[in-house]
Amino acid sequence: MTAGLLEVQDLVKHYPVTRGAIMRRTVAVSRAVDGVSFSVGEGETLGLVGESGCGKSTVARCIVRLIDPTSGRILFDGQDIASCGQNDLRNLRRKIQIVFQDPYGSLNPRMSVGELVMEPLLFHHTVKDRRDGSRRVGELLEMVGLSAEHARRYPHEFSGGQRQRIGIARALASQPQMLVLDEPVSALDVSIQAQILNLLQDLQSELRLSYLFIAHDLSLVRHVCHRVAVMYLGKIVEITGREQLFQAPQHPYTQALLSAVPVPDPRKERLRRRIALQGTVPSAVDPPAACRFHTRCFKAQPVCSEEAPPLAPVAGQEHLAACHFAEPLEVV
Amino acid sequence: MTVGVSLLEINDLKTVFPSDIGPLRAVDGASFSVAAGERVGIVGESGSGKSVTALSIMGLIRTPPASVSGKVVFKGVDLLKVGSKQRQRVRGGQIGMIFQNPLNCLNPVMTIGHQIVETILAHEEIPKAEARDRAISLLQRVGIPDPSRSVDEYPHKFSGGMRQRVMIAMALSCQPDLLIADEPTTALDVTIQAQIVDLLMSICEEENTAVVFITHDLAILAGFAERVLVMYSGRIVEEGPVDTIYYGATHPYTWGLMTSITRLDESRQDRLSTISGNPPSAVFQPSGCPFHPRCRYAEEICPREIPALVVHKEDDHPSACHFAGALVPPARLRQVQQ
Repeated sequence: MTAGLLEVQDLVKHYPVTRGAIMRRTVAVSRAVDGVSFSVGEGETLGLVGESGCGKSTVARCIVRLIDPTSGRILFDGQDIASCGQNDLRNLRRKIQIVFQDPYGSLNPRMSVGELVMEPLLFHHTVKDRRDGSRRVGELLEMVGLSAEHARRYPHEFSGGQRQRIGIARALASQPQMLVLDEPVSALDVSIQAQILNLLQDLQSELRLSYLFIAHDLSLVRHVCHRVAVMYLGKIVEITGREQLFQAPQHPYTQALLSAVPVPDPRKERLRRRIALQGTVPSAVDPPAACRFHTRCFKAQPVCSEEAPPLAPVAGQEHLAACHFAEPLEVV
Repeated sequence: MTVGVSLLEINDLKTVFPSDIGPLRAVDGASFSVAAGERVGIVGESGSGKSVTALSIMGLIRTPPASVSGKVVFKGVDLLKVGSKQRQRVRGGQIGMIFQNPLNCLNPVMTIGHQIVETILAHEEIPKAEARDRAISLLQRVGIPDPSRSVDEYPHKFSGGMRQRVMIAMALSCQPDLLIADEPTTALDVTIQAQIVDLLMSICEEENTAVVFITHDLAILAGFAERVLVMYSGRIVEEGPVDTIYYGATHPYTWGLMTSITRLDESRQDRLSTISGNPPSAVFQPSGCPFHPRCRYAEEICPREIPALVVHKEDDHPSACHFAGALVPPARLRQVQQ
């Protein structure tokens, strides 16, 4: 594998679990992210999927250093985001930006759209002065499918899809090389989702952007991503190219996840068999020993609770899965 | 499709809220029926009026300020004409409802057992101990592990999927004939979603409870519903048996919905087709067909006349488009339809 634009190596984020209000003490740690490694190439989209609580958003927030990772390295263009100082961080954040899920919560309602998009321009000194800035704001708004006149309006005057466009314009203001997209369309209606996905696709080919696309909807991920990593309880269980993952998933968790996604075709749905998982996702405070999935796995054997399977190549060098009994299965 | 006597008949339902900028027509003349034991899906985007339809049926819209008109006939009685006492007996008794966010619907300082017992005692005069026993067996029915202990737990102890099961248990507590589920799985993960859909399916089959499943997700309804209604701008624009809607839809909005989604069962599309523009506001509705500003097939008649939800050809299903049956569906849909 060639060195990517973004290299995440053995990323760990543990949260302390505390008791007591005055005599506060740490009683346990929640292993939200527990040794995650992947890379994203230039112009590539890597999907990060998993159910709620698997740690995918924590990974996203570590990468833009909205939270400090416990350990591990996050190399962006050779520089370590995880350990760099404030000045370097400011410079790095210019190149790597994040778009959030909630277009209602992530825009300050008291700022006009122009001010919202201007803020990162001034902060990163991408423009000479305010006049130059206004021109650039207009350009950015047009780039995301809005018009320059929208700059004078306020966020509440826009629909969810338009707000997400504003969020994207804001992220693009500093001319980043990479966007971290944390569930960028899951709050939107289907007809609007398609518009935003097409926009992201256009921007990628125009600006040669790299994306880390975080989502829980697998059919979306297949549409958008070149490669996909599946997370379960703070670990990556499978990572490979889009086609391999959807046609020949190797890890039982990936298979179960794919089999649970409904398809909009009544005849196919009637014939489909679901892989039902037992129980719910265990707590990250006290995750199951060895293979974390063994408590819910339909393939589990004694070895699964004794030895943790490494994330290793299963079918070619590019297809990695962490399972003792990895085997392709067609589920869709 | 289940043929039977209608359990619920909605006729020209209109729900209007006053607002500063004019009356907001959330539901604008919806008519449909639900047979006993039938599984009906209502699909639509946000603002299409699907949730307000459900709330109007349940009598959960405060009137005034809002106004609800038309007919909501449940088992032969028009619920819009009866008094609040009788309304209350129906609500939660004969019609149960579950919502999208189960945490908002459960009281955090009451045990789930207490909340289920409260519902039962509001509708039936039975000893408390008996109600509690029923609560435990309901929890068992919906798949809550260790029900005799869980009954005394507080809502925060449960995960999202388990809370939704508790809500279902509560909605089932008085053996309703109809269960309205408003986006019951939208907040849940896919694996949990599959479990909840299976549970609703088995309830429908075993107790012969009719289920109205409201969602924005066409994929879920494909495996669940027997009949599907498509809502847009407060109206039902197309309705028919599930196979007819998925393989033979005639309304351009339904086509737009079907082609703008990503789907796992087809080879990947390089580009998604989109429905241009945004859904209309319920205050400033376009004249004529509410979909015409976004419709690529719109002609001169469309802004002038509202198309009625009628059958256009023999053996066809109702579709509210002037040109239903005369238009050729987009290529991607034709593939699926074969």
